[in-house]
Amino acid sequence: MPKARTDLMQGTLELLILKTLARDSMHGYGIAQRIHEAVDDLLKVEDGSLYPALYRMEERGWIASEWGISENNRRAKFYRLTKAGRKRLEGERANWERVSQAIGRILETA
Amino acid sequence: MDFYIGPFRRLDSRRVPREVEEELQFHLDLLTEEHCRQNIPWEQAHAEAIKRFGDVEQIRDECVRIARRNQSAVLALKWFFACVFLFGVLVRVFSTDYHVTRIGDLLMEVGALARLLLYLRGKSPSKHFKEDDESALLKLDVAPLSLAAYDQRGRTPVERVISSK
Repeated sequence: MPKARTDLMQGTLELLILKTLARDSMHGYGIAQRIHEAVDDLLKVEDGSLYPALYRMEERGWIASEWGISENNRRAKFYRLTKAGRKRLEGERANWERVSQAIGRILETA
Repeated sequence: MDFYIGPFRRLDSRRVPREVEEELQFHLDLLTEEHCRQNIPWEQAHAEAIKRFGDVEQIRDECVRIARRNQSAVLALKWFFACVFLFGVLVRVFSTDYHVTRIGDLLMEVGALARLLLYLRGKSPSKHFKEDDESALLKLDVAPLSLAAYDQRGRTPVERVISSK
């Protein structure tokens, strides 16, 4: 069942990105750093895998991007959460809690 | 000014790959610098950065493909209405006849209004996608007792779902 595993990971990555951008706008490297700090090697997230997810999310209107100047004075693309993204985050978060609750029940009873 | 220049600038077919390349390069450079700060030689730091990043070419191609998807039709419309607006301006400037200048006014109004609508559409979420991407979600029935094989009436989970509909 490798397909199902990938699908779940895609959704999870999107949730992590949405949550990371909920605080402020960031470039891809900043998002990756924030996720690495938060998960503390518990989850292995390849930095590059963030970008297709970011582009997909932008296409769906959950995030918006614009070019700006980074902290090291280089041109960088900054992403921010849109109103639709904030709504999506709430939905995804609720869904995640439901799923983890369900899996927790299975693990307790099985 | 970006409002009117935008569609013209986007006609540059190399813009999307160039911007994706620049974005990924920025990430790779910062990753390399991060490793260099740990007193690792540049070549090794760069190799480590690529290892942590993943397959750069595959990721770049995927990003370009996504960025270009669904852009063509909207881009053509933006370009068309920007031209309508500009044509209206030219008619308005170079004609002295009242009826012709009225046509110029009309073209300018249509062009500007349509361009504004397309701009607002760009600000709102894309309608090309279903709100719920079923493939990305793991859906489970989390109703109480749903995990038990049989309930008190001896019904299986499938029978319970059918009877609850």
